[in-house]
Amino acid sequence: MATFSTLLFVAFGGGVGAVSRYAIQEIFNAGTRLPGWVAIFVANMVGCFIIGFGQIWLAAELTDATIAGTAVAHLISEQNIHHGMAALLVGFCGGLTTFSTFSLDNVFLSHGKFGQLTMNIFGSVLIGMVMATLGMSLAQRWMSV
Amino acid sequence: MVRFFISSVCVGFGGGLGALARYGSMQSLQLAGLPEYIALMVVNICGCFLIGIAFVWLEGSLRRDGTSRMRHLPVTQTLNDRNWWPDGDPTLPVVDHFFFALNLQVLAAVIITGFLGTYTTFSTFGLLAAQFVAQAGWVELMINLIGSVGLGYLAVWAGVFLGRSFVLR
Repeated sequence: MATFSTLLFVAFGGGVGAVSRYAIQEIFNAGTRLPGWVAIFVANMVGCFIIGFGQIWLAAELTDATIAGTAVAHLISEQNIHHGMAALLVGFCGGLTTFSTFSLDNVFLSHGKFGQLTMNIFGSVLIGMVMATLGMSLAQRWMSV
Repeated sequence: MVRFFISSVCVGFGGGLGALARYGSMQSLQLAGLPEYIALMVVNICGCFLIGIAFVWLEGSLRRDGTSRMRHLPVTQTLNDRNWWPDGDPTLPVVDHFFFALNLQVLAAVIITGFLGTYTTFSTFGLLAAQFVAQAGWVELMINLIGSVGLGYLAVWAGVFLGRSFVLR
């Protein structure tokens, strides 16, 4: 159910995520001599880790809030956690990571730079899955302590 | 530094709109009965197609200083004869040059980095892939990986070819 406040949190998280991705790009451009796709690769991997961690963490918080607390406190905290999910998972992680620039970089790399193209495609897909799994397992370990 | 702050505001504005558009698209596609990974694939491929159009349009019509990343692609080789690729145009006035660069920066920040970059997402794609591995859903995993990466690549090319016809017009 999309309430107006949820939309605000999604838009805010998306703006912050997009600015973070832009800042990562600029820092990589100014500070390193790496090719341009590396910045997008790093942003994507960081986002995969955060979404894995945040999903397990906020789901556990939601379970805690539904079990404990009075009726009013419970409603408020449940609402807060839904807003947190909208801002962090849908907004921030979605804004920090991008698929369109990844594909655009693949198109550029496919003209002659096949080594980097292979590194970008397989590296992003495999390491992204590993980072998401790592985030989920770290959050599970952290929540169970 | 000033350029960074101006671009940041543009990127943040475009990013907010892009996140809203993605949330709305995902919700409506899932309401229409598609599973989450197919809905995400549709959104990502649409974003890839649009970024192809937007990129070739912005680069072709606004970038005048000859530093485009598209110069070495085969798609632009055939266009050099048609005098649309303004490489090193010595007659270009300085003021025009400045305004073109400014327009290019603002438009690229809002449309490409902000809106389309945020409209598509890699993190949910990676999370769904990791969940398919954990649940041993190999068919969905393969559809997700090969479909998103392969069709996204083709969609960028399709966008570039379509955008080229706008620029040549």
